[in-house]
Amino acid sequence: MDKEAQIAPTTIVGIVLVVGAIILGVLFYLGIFGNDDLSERDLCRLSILSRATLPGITQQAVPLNCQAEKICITTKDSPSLSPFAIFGKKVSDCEQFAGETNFKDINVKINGDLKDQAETKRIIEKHYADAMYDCWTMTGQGKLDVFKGETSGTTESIVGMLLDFTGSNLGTLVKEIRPKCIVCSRIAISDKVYKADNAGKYGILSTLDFNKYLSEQNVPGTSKTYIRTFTEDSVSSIGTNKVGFDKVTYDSPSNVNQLAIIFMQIKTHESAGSIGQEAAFLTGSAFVGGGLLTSTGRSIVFSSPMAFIGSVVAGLAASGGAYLYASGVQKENQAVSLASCRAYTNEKDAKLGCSLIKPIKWDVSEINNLCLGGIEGNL
Amino acid sequence: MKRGLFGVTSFGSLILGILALVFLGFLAVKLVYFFIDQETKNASNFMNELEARVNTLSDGQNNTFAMRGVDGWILVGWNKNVDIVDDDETVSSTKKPQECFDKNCLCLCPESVAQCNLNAQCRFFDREVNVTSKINYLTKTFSGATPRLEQQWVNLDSTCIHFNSQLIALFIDKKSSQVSISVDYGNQESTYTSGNENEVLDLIDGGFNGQPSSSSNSDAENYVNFLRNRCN
Repeated sequence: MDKEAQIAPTTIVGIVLVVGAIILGVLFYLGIFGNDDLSERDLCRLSILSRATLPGITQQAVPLNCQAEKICITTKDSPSLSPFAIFGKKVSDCEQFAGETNFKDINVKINGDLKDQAETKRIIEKHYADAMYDCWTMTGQGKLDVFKGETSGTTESIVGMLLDFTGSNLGTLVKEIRPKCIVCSRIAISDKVYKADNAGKYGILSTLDFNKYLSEQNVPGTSKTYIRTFTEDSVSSIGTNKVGFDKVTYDSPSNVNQLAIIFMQIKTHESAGSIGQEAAFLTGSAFVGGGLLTSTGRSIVFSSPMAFIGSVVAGLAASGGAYLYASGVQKENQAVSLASCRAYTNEKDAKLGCSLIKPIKWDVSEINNLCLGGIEGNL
Repeated sequence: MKRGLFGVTSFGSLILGILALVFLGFLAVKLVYFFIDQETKNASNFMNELEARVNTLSDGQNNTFAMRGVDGWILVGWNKNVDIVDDDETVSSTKKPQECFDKNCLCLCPESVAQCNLNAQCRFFDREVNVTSKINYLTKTFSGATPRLEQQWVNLDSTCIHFNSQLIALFIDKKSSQVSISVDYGNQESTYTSGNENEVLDLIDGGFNGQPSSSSNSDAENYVNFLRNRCN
């Protein structure tokens, strides 16, 4: 027998072990083995990563192993038995999470003490900022094509699309391209807090300033602020906007008194290599909405044609993408949204797309209007 | 030395290879099972959440819950006095799945009521269950010798709730004798128009400030037809 044609036993075993390792890796990503040592955030990140890196049709078969983090801001100061308590079962103080699992109750102090008030504001703002940061990192910082091939539709102009992002006509945009979403976090305020705050007597909820917190406070474990981290040091500060849980709360039925931090991704049929002026905009060298971006596109604040909009666009030519902050996209809470636009490549070519991290009121019609292509992951 | 298959001379290596292949086969089966079973797991999770939310309500209470069902599945309920299907029959609004036997039963079924006997996720209640959905849709019709636009709001009530991958507002009303689960899809303006297309276009050109003629059904029309076909 020809010696060259023989396969050594060690080769066979090696091949088997390599294939086995690959399959084990995939199963591990998918959480089939339980992965009790991993946090839900880690599992979600792994499933997003595996989906984004798998080729073609196999990508669609990978479910996203993501569970929305449910944060209930509550207080111990006015203890009362929850009407939603079920004997022997842990329930949240927030009736918004009634019948749900995987929630986290955060206790704050609501009283006339100024120190306590400042600490309470800090805690709420921190959880909000961390939720934005977690969502941003978990979904790949806008660099991953999470819903490859799943969004459809067309948009006439990329510039128009990005203007839509800043709030000029978001509704028209999303109806054209049916974006998909992941709900990263849901943040609710319990009725106990509102009662203790005596309908705004202490003014804690009405003076929350999430933008200021994002601008001034560092991401835990780092020496960079949230905004600097999001923009890779391109933007140091964003405008002050009071995010009013109270606006949402006191005017609406209690079951919508929560905000959701949502990851949304859209892709166009535009080829990233042939969009001319739009590409210039993305790299930060075009006029947009009456504001001028510098050649590097960094740190220039401009006002869009919409009176209530103020935006900061940071074009990052070096990384081939652009990060865009749109403040005041939604009237209700004047919150900051984070968008990242870039070319997502597939087997054939590169399509322009944008990822958006957006705080939004937990309202069925508002979320459905944004996520026309549906929601993946668990709520 | 005499060589065997592929030149493997060691019996131990052969055994090791066979064991590795068996293990890989096991993993492959588990992987396939994972993908196939994912939708059923989602359906089970949804029904568990729905049951938990019903349980959070006391008798006489109601609330609206934002939930996301399983894409393409429907929610339907039967009471204990409804007959069960025989082995050769199809589940319908008047014949419930066999597993519901003598119980008040709420089921999430793939595609249609007729599929409830195959892969449904059912939960049982100590009181009657009532599932409804309603939609108001505006039909636009061009008709008559001199075509004119006629609009009419049509209300459709249905005995099941259809889910897609979006959020849905489920209204749950719990009484001592009954649990009602309902969805109001609200007013959906249909863009569907019927009539002679040229006449319709002339009419639009002549000043009608409405939707252009369309030969295809709108989402509202499609949904109405869907419910008619799937819920009964």
